[in-house]
Amino acid sequence: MFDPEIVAFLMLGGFFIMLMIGIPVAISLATVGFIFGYIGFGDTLFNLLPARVYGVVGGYQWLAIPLFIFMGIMLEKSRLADDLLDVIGHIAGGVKGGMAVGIILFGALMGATTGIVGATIITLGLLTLPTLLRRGYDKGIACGTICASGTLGQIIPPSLILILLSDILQLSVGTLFAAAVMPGLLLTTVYVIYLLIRGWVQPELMPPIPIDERSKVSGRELWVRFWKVVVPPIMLVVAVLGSIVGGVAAPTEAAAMGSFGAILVTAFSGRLTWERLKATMLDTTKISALMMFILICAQVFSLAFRGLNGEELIAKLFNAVPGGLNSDIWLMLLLIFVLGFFLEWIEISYIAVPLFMPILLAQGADPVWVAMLITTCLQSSFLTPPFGWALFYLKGVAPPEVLIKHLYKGVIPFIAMQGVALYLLFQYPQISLWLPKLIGW
Amino acid sequence: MQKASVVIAERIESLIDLFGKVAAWLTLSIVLLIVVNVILRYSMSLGSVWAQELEWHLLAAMILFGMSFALLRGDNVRVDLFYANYSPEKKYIVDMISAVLTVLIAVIFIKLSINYVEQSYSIGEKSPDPGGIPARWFIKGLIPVGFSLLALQGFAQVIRVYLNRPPKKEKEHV
Repeated sequence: MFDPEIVAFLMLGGFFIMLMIGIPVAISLATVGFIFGYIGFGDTLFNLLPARVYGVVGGYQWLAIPLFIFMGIMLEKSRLADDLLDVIGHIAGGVKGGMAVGIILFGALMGATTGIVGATIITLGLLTLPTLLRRGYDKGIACGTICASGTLGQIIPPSLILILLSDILQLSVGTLFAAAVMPGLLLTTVYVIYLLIRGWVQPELMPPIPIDERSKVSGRELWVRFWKVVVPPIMLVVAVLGSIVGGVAAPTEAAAMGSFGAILVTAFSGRLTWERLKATMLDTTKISALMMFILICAQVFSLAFRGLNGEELIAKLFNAVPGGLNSDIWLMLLLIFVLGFFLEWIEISYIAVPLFMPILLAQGADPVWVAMLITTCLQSSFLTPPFGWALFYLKGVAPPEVLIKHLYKGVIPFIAMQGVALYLLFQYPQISLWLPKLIGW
Repeated sequence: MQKASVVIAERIESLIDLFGKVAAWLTLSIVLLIVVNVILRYSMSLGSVWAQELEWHLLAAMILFGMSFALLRGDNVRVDLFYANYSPEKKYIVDMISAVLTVLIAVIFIKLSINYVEQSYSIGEKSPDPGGIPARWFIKGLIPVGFSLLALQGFAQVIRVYLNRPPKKEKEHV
């Protein structure tokens, strides 16, 4: 009666219209899924749905997600971030552009704890942006640095995107974590080099912080705090990631030990209170339950879309593009880049990636390599005006004198650097594949 | 009428909050359970299938009890590109549609999953692994419970949105 492909096409269209109107993402996914699934198949199709829901809520592989969130939030509540920033300011503040470099390093470290982009950007925006501006930092550079620093959390393990992708691509979490180490470091290094050069060429944009301001807190006190409050959590994170990447512990176990360790570390720094523990538990519930709810609703969507042969539709699109595997990869990256304007990473990795992947895998692409390209591409997508999520997060907490145009101007060099990094990862797959191979994943 | 509906919405929300608190405790329980399992296994090579299965059973309960709470108290993920600039009337319409759809979706999920649980219960489904948790149907039974909470939360949202609707303009007819 209906041509399934047309129905599948209408389904995609309906989904985007609902999203644009402002219906919450999960509700939009489930609604179009049910409507178009029933149009295409009547009610037989959805008899499969409960088993899918059960697969999501009872999936052992998902256990790592709430556990990593727990660890990250607990460390955040231990006010690790504040101390870390003080120390970084003290050490790096004297160099031209030093604070900006410090912020990038901070983002890389935070990426290794929470990996939640919004949380890192909001923390940095609240704690450092006012100081940077008062010290005469250029608004654009300050904002761009903070946004780029926050998006690093998406690629630096334990990135939640990588956990999700590992399930979709049927790879071990350890493989993807190991693969992401070098690309993450590559991006961090490129940013740092850029900032040092820019600070050297145009010192007026990134002035050093005068010594008297930096020594408001005495150096000695700072070192005590450094060893007591900053070093233990970093060691914890290194131990957790190391045991996963090195294949010593399963991700779930390592994440649970990490969460427990985070409680101990917070207690050690004398900052564990009943209130903080309860707040951690509640925030973990909110963030992870909402994620899983979106995943459940995504099941409705993918069941219907697949039933309607929507994958054929995508395959046709890819076939229509001339050139082989390489042009297909770039097409996928372009689509993901555009989708990243509208969708959060959960929907992109759970709905979009499974649609594109079979086409690439059939042509012999290495899934680990493609996963790294996707993750890097998503970062640029979240940073790119006018829709980038990172910009919205920062604008929400920035002082009023920071205008949206400062943000737009500030992120452009970072997007360019991400483009370069993406190209390098594409040209030299070894960057991603070297470490997993070395460890023997 | 107005007062009664406020009371209903408040009752529902405090029920959702209660389940949210249970879910929050489950997160800590999962952490501690896995830590104990790991320590027992590595130090004394003690491990039980039962305790390992309990790990993801608790996860399932946490998600299903926590999702309505997350919708109620967390940040709703939506694209607010246009939404942020809507007039109150437009926001009211979009919010009402979202709330009604939440109820409808939850009801479909309940209807579908009840058959699924009944099937599991009628054959007395248990863990396929020896030494596992015997009542597999029980954990499956939490799916309709979770979606019933979602339906209630959606209903409370309908009431809230309706009570906060923008005042009607003279010219408009309904």
